[in-house]
Amino acid sequence: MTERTRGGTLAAVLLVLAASWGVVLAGVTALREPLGRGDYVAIWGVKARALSRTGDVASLFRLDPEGAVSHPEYPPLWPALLALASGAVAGRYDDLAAGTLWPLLALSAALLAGRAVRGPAWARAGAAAFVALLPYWRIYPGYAEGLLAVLLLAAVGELDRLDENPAATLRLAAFLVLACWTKQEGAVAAIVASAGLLLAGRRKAGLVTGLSSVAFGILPWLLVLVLRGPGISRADYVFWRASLGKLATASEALLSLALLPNVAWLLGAGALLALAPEVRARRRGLLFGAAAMAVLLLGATAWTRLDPTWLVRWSWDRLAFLLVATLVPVFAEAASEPFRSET
Amino acid sequence: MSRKNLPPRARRLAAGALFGSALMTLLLAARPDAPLSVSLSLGRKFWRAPERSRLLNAPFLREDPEFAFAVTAADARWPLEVDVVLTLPPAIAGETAEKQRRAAALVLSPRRVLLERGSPAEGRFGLRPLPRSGP
Repeated sequence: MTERTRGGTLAAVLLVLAASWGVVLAGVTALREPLGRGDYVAIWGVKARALSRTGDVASLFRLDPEGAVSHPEYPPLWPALLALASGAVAGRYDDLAAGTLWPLLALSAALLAGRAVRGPAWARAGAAAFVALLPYWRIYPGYAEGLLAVLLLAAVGELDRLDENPAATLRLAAFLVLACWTKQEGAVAAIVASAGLLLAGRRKAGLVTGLSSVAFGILPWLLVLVLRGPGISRADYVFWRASLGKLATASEALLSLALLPNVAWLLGAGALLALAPEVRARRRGLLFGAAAMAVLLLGATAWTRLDPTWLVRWSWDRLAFLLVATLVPVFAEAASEPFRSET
Repeated sequence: MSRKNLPPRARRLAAGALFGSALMTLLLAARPDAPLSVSLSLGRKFWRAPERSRLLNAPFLREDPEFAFAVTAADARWPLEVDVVLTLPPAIAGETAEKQRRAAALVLSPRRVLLERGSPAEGRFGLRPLPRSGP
């Protein structure tokens, strides 16, 4: 065993320990008391209890028909999973039992981040540690982005396997369909991924993921909303009323609240990618896709009904979590490239 | 900064330092917000407690035990098909009132909880069932 191999093994062991610490903290945060913060109370928990007690998707719309708080237009996968997990653990809906999903999600995200890395064991363990240690898991227990991050990381893990394994296309499509059922950002990710695959000349994968996301993810929920729910008129976005002023306000808020305070992270990420031309080239689709998703999510603020500054203040870190988690495998590969290419 | 003008050793050093410092920053920030022994003890109490005690001490209810008792009692008593009106005095700030409404809505779900401003018949708040309106 060479000195570098020994160093890599030691680093992998330490990084697995760091990843485990992240998962333990996520578990402690979610399991020491009933879930009960912000959007869990207002959106996810209230819907999960309604589903658990009635078994009827229409109960989601009755809670808040005006769409003032609980976002009846949000897809139901996360509350349904909370209800199922709670029912399995406690036999009824219970905000403490529902928390058992949280460490499982953090663990899944860490494992899937490691799986998505093409690189040495320490880079895989590094990606797992990075994802598990993200503050999101300790700040927002019970929120839906945790599930969405797991699904997006699972999808990222399939991108590199499309050539090797025919089933990878189907798995990718399945993960993106589930992402559509989790949050609207999941639908945006599915559309971006499908368009990216088509643009990259992967017609079959692009068509399969795009069509399945629309046919099995986006349209069915829209139909449920229209036929059994309040329609789409209660959504946060009005697509026939764009405002460049709102976009400018949101961009300003994003700059001051998110980008400037985190400029060191952005520069560090850029420098890491600059050191890894092979990874940059191999992962350019994913990098462009993440950038496109960020632009689309920011661009959507032009259509928001809400105060754009308020919207950015209360959502940017959770959306950034999704983008960062999705890109962590790329950064881990970039960190390992200088070590790999010289050996 | 590219492979052409940076020696391999310097590239490895830079990449390792960047990724390592990012991970170290995350690791240092990943401190429990309470001692682990306290969190484990709290968790043990919650997991051993009956359903109602869990709810009464949940983060969204425990600040106001009287309100918590009233909401959990209403949940046990009223059918799921009714809506619920929460009456709060106008003196209670809008944000606080909405927070209470949301907490009540979580416990009483799938019942719809409507906020009404006025003088409760008795005490600091009022809860009453309302025949279901709308779909």
